[in-house]
Amino acid sequence: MRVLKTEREIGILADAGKIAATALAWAGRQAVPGATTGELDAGVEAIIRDAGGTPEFKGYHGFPASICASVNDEIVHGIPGSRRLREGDIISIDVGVRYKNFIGDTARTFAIGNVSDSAQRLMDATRDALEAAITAANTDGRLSDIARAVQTVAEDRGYGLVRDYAGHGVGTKMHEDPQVPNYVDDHLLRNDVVLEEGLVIAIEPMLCTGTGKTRVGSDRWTVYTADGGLSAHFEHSIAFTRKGVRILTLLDNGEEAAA
Amino acid sequence: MNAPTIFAGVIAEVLPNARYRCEDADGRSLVCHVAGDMRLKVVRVLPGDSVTIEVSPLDPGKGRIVGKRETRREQS
Repeated sequence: MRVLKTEREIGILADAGKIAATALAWAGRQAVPGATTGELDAGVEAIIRDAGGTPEFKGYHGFPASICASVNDEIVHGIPGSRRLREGDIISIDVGVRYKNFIGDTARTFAIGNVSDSAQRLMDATRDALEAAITAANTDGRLSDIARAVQTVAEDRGYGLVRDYAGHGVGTKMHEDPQVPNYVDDHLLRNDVVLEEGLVIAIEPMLCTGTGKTRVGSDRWTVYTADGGLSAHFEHSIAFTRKGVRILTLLDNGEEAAA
Repeated sequence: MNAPTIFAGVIAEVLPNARYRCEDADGRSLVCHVAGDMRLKVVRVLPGDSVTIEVSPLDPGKGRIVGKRETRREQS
């Protein structure tokens, strides 16, 4: 069921989003060679709690941490811990915050020190796919406009697109309807959704250097590329308002968490 | 003995609230949801997808989708 939000609720969602973006930016600054993913997780949790929020991922269906930390061939749901980041790694960090009972959800892939050109191009393409999707998202447009924008960037640059996971509505629950797929198919076109005022969604393209096919690891959480290719993941939560599209997961100064 | 039954099924229909009607090889129908540890992110499952379903004898009317199996899907 799709729930539309009032202006006041979108304001709280933006507050939650700002906390998530602030914590994500901090994690990005700390993500350097030698840091462990567990340190990033602990710091993000402290930032969220200091701001009056709670980490939404922690305990969600039993997930043990406040961030997902997915390195290199890990797409999403990587569990942070003792893993030490190395020069040349890329790490996708995903943060979920609950604040005044509303959710902020954002993710970004960061380079650890100097990375290969191919890794940098993958990250750039994924960020561009998210930007293209937000540009394509217009009040009174269709959900398929967003999906098509992501798919076009991925295909034009020759990257695999992860199809098994999708974006989602955001509100008092982290996952609300509608699903926001990153590609267009008949099912989406038959069930297309008008992007009406009050709708709040998270858009989250996941691009890979390989096919985009996935497998779940033995910890039953971590999702890997089936072929071992690199994966990048960028996510913003956005609201459709009377004044147009508003990105909810931005920093205090209105900017994005820098890569 | 409360061990769940595990079997292969196919998504027949997408229902509201992240529920799916699945059918087994004999065409029997069961309402299922996607198991929690598959869905910190939203898992995209569509009609025609092959899935692995787990059913608890304590609640035989509902199934948990615990995995997606390789599915051939036409790209549009």
